[in-house]
Amino acid sequence: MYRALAYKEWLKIRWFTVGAVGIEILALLYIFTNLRAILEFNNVIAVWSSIVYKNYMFFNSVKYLPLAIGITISVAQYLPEVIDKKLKLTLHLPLEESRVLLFLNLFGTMILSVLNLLLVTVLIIGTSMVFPAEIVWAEFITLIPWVLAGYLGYFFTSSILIEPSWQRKTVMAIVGFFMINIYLVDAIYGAYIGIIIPLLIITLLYNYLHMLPGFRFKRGLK
Amino acid sequence: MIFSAKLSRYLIVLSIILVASVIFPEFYSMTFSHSFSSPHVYYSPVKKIFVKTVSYKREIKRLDSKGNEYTREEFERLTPLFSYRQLLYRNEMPDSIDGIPIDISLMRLNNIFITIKPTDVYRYTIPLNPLIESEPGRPDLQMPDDFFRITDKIEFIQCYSNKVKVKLSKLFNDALVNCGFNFPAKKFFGNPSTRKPFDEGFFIVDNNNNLFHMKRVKNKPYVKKVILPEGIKIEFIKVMEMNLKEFYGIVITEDNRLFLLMYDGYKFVELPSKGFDRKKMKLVFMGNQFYRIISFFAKNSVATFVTDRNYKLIAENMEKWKTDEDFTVGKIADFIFPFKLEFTDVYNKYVNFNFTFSNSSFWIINLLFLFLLLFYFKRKRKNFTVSQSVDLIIVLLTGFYGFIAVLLIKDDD
Amino acid sequence: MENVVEVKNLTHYYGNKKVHENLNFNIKNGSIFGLLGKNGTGKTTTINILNGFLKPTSGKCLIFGEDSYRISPKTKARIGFLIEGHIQYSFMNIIQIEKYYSKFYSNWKRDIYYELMSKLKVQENQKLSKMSCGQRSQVALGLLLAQDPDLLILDDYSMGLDAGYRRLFLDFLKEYGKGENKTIFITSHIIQDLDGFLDDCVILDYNGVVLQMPIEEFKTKFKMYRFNSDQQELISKDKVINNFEIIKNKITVYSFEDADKVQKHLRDKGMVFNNFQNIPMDLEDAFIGITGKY
Repeated sequence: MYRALAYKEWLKIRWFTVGAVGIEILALLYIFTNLRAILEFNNVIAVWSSIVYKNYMFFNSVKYLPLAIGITISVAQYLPEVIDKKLKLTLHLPLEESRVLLFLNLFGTMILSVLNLLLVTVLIIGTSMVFPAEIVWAEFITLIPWVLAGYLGYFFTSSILIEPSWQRKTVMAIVGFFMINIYLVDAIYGAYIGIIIPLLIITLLYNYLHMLPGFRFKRGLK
Repeated sequence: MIFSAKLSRYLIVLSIILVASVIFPEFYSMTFSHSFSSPHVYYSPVKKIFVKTVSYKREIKRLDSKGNEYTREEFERLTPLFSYRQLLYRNEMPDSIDGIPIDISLMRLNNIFITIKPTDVYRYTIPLNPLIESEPGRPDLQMPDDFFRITDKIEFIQCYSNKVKVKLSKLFNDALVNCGFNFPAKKFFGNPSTRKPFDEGFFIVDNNNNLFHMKRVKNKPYVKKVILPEGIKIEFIKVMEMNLKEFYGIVITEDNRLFLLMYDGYKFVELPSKGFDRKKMKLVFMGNQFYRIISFFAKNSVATFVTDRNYKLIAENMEKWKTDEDFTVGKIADFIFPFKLEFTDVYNKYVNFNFTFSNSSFWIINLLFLFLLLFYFKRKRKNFTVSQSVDLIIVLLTGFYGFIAVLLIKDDD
Repeated sequence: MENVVEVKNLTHYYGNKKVHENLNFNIKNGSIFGLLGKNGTGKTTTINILNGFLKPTSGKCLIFGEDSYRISPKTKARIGFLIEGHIQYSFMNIIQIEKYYSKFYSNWKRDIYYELMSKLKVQENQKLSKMSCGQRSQVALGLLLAQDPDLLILDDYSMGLDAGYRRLFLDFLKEYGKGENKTIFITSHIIQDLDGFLDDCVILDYNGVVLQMPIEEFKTKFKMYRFNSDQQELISKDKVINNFEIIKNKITVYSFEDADKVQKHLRDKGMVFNNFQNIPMDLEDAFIGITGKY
């Protein structure tokens, strides 16, 4: 039964996923061609120096990409459910309701993970061809909070969409905005190194964020 | 479903508390806080007293420890070594100080100004550095075309190709091994810029906390082990190449002591460090022909120590001033906000959960909110549910923040 | 199981507004039950409680013995429900949607779905979003019939449908209802189609339940009388007269009492009238009679 559910979810988001892959490819192309030009037209040592000492992040343009993708996938998944309260159809299926809600969430996060994996892997591999491991590692540590922000964007968007009351939607939007900002602070390479594990735990816990809105939707609470 | 919903509720409540503890204190501070600038403290070789410049109501006052005020010109005459440009311009430069005739170029040679901020030390650094050729055979220094790393061995990586320079790396590695270097390196201290008179390479702390000095001399290694004083563990070295060639740089140890690492036999000369907290204070080292002036700047104080050129302490000064916390504005904040959360810190470049707990009796305000909530619950029903009790505890612990959180996301039971 | 649905002392408030107070009714196994009433009388609330998307303020609503707001998955498989407006996932086409739902129900009857689909003039890969209201309603119905549930809850099946599709829908429903142990719960504000279809009903008006009885009984006992009189001011709603209408000197009254009792009641009030007639009603007339035209 869950396979059928996955099928339906995929039908909703498949073109958005393809679009996201497309945008990621475009972004990666831009980053690496730009990097090539920078290395070609500048003193290579000066580029290394600006990375090591001046915090130059040639991959900076993807900072908000995981977040944008997270929000988009969530909208693609949940907006059709929320319009005309179609989520009722899914919750009426002969399945345990909390499992259904968690499954929908899991499906979305799996897609996000594939997209994020693609982005990070290509970035890392590309970087390692031109820069040593220390710079690749610093880049990786810097990317992680941005990727986690994408998941948060997904969780908060789902919760806001499912939540029936406007007052609570607003509260969650405000809270989501500030929480996500924590993951996207303007900082130097490796600034997040002490806080990565706690942020990861928080992100994992937020998988349950949409459960209260889901419960309130089911009970008809306002 | 109910369990997940409750978990979700507490997630949201805690998130609101977290966000509230960030934005409310910040908003309050943006609205009400004032800036309190620290005075700049100088030691006059003319009168042998401390003089300071203070920002007062948008104008600068120049005072001494007794409170006497000086005009700008008087002040400059009191601090000739610091204000020599202005005095020369007005032809007021004295011929001698303490019997020693003034020579402008000698004076310039001896003028030193070094700052070390906690954010220079407490930050993630990418462990790659360029080892500049220290005897280039030309007047200007040039950046090398490689960066080195020291992991289980030293490797010089050619920047253009991103490949290791095998021969050069082996050469340097043998030199390090011969000197007793224990891999991997823990810390690197140097000045990776070509805008300096000459280059002294890097001071490197190895895996056994020993210190080594490494330079690139005609593309060959110069490595020397530096004997550390008893019990010293190096936290940071600010390397500063100066034509004076008295010391390589300033050393900060893990127990807040300060040293100069001298050219003469790598001796460590201790500097006054009374009250120095390397994690929270800015260190300013000023030097001139006669004195060494060391200042520690904290949030609401600056301590200044003056030594002679033999590093014997001759004078100390302490300036303290009030900041927001000491005024009503700060006291009210302390009262309403049981704690505040910041993710960045002025003292380091990390992102972290930085909680500052109020030290006043915020429990009173917490209890007030607790009673408000109690009253609100009682209006709704006679007995308390388990979840309402939990809510009350949350408010007791987090006061104002918990109060809004618990009311915004009321339990739907 | 005698009663498929049991509503006991159901009370519900929307904020401070009372929607139901101590509503009580049962739906027997195999019956066709109608919840009738004008818009705004609490039909939607009742349906939401019944289909499990609203927890009542107090009281119970039991379906197959379980609280309607937390029905077990096994029991959910036995309940089919039609959301008002024939809401279905419009991003799927008729093939995808059948394939999707079939995976959830073990008794899935594919044939009846496709029989219904063959009557629609739609392409196989046509998304529901690109269909007309009527076509969508057929898809929704087809899915429900294929599910073959023991209890079918239909919230306003007639919404947005023209006469043709309404009839088609009802025809299939009637066929379905003839099956064993099939219970149907319908709400509607278009009454005429339901005449001859419903077994039992509850009628709501703005003050609550105005009637609760089997349809046959309602149609036989509830009567419409017409007469002429100039004393319009003496007419009012009371124990005998449920409702009345006055057009010039033509007065129409509705009552559960027989003709003699009503005439006596009018005379007791001091009314003078003539041309007293008992006018036969169909279900819609009776409905308007009991709820009023406004």
